[in-house]
Amino acid sequence: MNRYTELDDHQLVRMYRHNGDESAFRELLGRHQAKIYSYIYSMVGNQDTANDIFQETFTKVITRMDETYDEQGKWIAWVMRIAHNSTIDVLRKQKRFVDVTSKDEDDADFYERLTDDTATDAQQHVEMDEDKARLMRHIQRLPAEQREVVMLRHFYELSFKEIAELTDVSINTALGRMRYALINLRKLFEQEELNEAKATER
Amino acid sequence: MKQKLPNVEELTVKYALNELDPTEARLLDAAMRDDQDILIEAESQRRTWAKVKQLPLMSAPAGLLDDTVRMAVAAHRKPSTRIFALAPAWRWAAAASILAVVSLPFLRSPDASSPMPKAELNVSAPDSQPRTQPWVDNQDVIRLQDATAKTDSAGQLVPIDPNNPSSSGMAPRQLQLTGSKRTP
Repeated sequence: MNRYTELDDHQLVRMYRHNGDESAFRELLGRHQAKIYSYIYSMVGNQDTANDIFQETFTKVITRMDETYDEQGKWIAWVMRIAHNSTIDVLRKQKRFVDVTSKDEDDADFYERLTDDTATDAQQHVEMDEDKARLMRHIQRLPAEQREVVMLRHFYELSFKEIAELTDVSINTALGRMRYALINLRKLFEQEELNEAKATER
Repeated sequence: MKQKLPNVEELTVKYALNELDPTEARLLDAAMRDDQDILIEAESQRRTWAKVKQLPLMSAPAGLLDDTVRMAVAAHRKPSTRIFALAPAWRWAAAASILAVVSLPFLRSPDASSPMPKAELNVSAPDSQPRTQPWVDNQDVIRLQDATAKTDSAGQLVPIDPNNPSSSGMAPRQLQLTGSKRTP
């Protein structure tokens, strides 16, 4: 068993910072990359853009670690903040953070390529993939500030207080955005069911 | 009688995300019993959130992760140009070098102010007065005078006569090491 897996994030960060320990950094990255990448991808909905933001995030993490990370707070919270800010910067540049009517759906089948460990047989596996792809399409249709709250909660498991701090709004605003997101998602699911029912009737 | 909660919308979201504290849970429970609309809204939000929770984590492409690790290793190997990133010994050496360069004009002989030609000064100075390099003592203080030169305190030192150690004014001392037995 790899001895690095037994170390906590603080110890790994220290090993990388002071000794340039490659294995320590690799372990840190392995632990948290999926959450960070999933958040970025769910916000931008495009794999190439998500890759660029992920790389930009870690370029900042590596170059700024000595200057801005003080080892008192959680390393992953600090990285998540950088990932979030980088994502919002890109969305703002694309003007998708405000104007959510333009969407790239070229990567909508990304989730269909995902495997799921909970699937017990091939049939269920196919159905679950379809559901996830559908869910991802609906999430992509949410206004960015609602999508942001949903994804921060889901992938980073942040409390509403933490979401409010990260997005620079009040807790009530964060709760309100989550409520609207859930209402909108419900509408999108209902609309889709309706469309499917109509298609079956024809 | 129906009791309208002031923050029912927040409570239904918290209910959906399983974040209610016991007091809030009691309040919402009572509200849901009294008002079916609240019950429907809270339940529909809970079900929608349950669907969102099915969204799986995605791994970044393997090539991207390898590139990130390579970048991290390269960044750490890159030598820093900042003086404060240097090891303390090197930091002192760098500081001493800078000080030496800055203080060179002051190390010249007093004759340097005379109207003698500069070329002559440069040639004769090393022969007449050897230039002392700055050095750092054990207290990490930069010294500019010769380490072997006689200082005031050095002038007070007198050689010890091995036949009569007390002549130097110091009482003979017996060294007692930790863990050793004192000899009579």
